[in-house]
Amino acid sequence: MLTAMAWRNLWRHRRRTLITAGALAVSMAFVLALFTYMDGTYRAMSTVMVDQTIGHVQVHHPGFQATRSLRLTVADASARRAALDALPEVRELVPRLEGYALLGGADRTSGGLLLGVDPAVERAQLERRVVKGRFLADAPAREIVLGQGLARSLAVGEGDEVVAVTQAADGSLGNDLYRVVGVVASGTVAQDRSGAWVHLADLQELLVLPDQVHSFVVLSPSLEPRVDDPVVNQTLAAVRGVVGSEGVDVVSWWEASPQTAKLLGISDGSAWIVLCVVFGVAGLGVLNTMLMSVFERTRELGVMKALGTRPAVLVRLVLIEALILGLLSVAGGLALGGLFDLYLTTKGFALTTGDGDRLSTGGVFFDDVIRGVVKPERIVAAAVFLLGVAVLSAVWPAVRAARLDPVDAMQDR
Amino acid sequence: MEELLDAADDVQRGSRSHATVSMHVKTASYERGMKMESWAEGADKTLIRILEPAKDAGVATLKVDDNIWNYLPKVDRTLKIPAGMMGGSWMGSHFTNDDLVKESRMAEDYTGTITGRPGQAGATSWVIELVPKPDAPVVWGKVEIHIGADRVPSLARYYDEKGVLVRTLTWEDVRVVAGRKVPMRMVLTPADKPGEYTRITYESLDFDAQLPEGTFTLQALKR
Repeated sequence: MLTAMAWRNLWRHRRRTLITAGALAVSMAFVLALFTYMDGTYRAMSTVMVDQTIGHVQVHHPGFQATRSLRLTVADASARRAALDALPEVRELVPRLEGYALLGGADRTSGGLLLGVDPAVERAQLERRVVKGRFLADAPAREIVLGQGLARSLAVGEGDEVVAVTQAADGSLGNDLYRVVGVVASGTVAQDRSGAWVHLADLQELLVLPDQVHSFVVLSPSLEPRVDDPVVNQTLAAVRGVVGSEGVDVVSWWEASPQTAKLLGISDGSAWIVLCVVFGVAGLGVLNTMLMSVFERTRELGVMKALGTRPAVLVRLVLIEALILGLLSVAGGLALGGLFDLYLTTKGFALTTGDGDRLSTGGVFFDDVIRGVVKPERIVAAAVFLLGVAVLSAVWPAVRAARLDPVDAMQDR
Repeated sequence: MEELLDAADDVQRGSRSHATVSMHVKTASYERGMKMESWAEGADKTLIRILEPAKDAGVATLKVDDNIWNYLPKVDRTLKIPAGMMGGSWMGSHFTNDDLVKESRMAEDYTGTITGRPGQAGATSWVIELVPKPDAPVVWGKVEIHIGADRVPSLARYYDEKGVLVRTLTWEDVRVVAGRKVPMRMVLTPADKPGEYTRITYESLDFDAQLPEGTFTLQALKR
C-alpha cells in the first residue's frame, strides 16, 4: 500500500525523477568504470611490480639480500629447481645469478653487473626490451646482451666480442669471452648503464659457482597477490617444504619488499575516496529532490496528517520513495556501467607517458594494452553504497514531513 | 725522519729488481696459494706474471705510473683497469689495485710526527704517525709506521678518515740480500675480517737485475 503510493508519488514529477535517477545512474556507471579501470591498472601494476620484479616467493641464502655477496648462494640448484617446478603451487620458477665484472670491448673497459638468466624462462619479459639484435639463445653459447648505456661505453655492438674479468668465488681470476648478440633498453638508468645478461650456465662457469644460484623467484597461481594472500602463503609453505630451511631463506614478496606492499596499498584506498566523493554529490541530488517533493506536497501531507496518518508512516513513505529512486538509479547504473566495463575489459586501454612512450616501473614495462578487471564485490559495494546514500539523504526531508503541523500545512498554497 | 721513511719505502726496491714471490690468501670462503714472478724498475714500473696455479698461469699485470693493465691468456686480451675499479682486490688478495699503483713516497705525501724512539720505554723501533698532506693522492686518514733502528720497517697500521683501523701490514723474516737488509715476508691483515690475511713471501730476490729493453710494455705483457 505504502509502496504503491510512493511509486505513484515518484511519477507525479516524471521528468524530475528521471533526471535525478539518471544523474545517479551515470555517477554509478562512472564509479563502476572507474573501479574497473583502477582494478585493471592495479593488476597491471602488481603484475609489473610484484610478479615480474620480486616474484611472489623468493628463495635465497639468508645473508644474500643484505649483502649481495657473491658467495652467498643456494646450492644444488638444478635438483632444487626440478623439485620446485614439480609443485602444483608453483606457476613459474625463475633462477637468477649475478656478479660484478670488469668488461672490455676492443679498447674500452667498464664495470658491469652480469645477470645470469635462463633465457627460456625469462624470454617473454626480456625479449621485448631488445632494441638491437636479439635476446640470448636458450642454450649456453657464451652470448651476452648489454644494456644500451653499457654497450655505448664499451663501444661495442652486435657481433663484437666482450671480455669479462671478475674475481671468481674460489679467488681465481675468472675471465671469458662473450659475443654481443643484442642491446636492450631496460628502462632503468642503472641497468642501462651497467647491466649485462648472460646465460645462467655461462655465468656459473665464469664465477666458479657450479650448480648454484643467488635466488629462485617463484610465482604462485595467484593472479593478483595481495599482502598475506592465502594462495601465496600456500606456495610459500610448499616451497619451504621442498627446500627446507638449511642455508636458505624463503620469503614472501611483502617481506622481500615492504615498500612495494605499501605502495600497492595506497592505490587500493584511492578508489574508495573517489566513491565517497561521487556518491556524496549524488546524495545531495537526492536530498534536493526529496526536499522539493516534500515542500510541494506540504498541503497534501497536512491533509494526510489531519486524517490521522501517523508521523512514522510519513517518514516511511518518503524513505520508500527515496529507496525506489535509488533502485531505479542502480538499475540504470548497472546497465550503463556494464557497457563501460564491457569496453574496458575487451578493448582495454593503454598506459603511456606524456611522450607516448610505454610506461615502465623498476625496469619492467607495462603491457601495451591494459584490460579492465571487474570484481563482483565492487559492484555490490557500489550498489549498496548508492542505495544507502539515497535513503540517508531522504532522512531529513522525511523528518520534516513527519513534523508538519496539520493546520499550518493545510493553509499552505 | 725523512731518511727513515725513504729507507722504509725502498726496503724492497732496487733500481731494477727481479723476484719470485709466493702469495698466500686466506679468506672466510677460500684459501689459495699463488706463485708469481715480478720485475720492477724503480717505483714506477712493475710487471707481475702468475706462474701457479695452472688455472691462472700466464695472467700478467703491468703497472706503469698510475695505470694498470691485466693480460688474460685464456681469452688473449689485455684490459686496462678503469679508475672506478682501482679499489678492487688484486688477484683475489687483500691488496687492491691502488696498492700497486699508489706506491707513494711517505715523505712526500704525509706529514710525519715521531711518537716513539728506539730505547724509549723499552721500544726497539721508531714510531711515526703520518697524516696525509691536503692534496696527497692517498686513501688513508692516518698511517702509523714502526721502523727499526736498522731502518727496516716492521709494522704499519692504516686508518680511515674516521680514525678506524682498516688493516695492518707487517714485514717479517729480515735477511741480507746483496748487502742490504730486506724483509722477505709481508703479511696484510684486514681489521674487519678476523682470520683473513694475505701473505707475500719472496722466494728469490735479485736487485740490479738485467732487464731486457721493453720489459714494461704492453707487448711484453703478453709474452
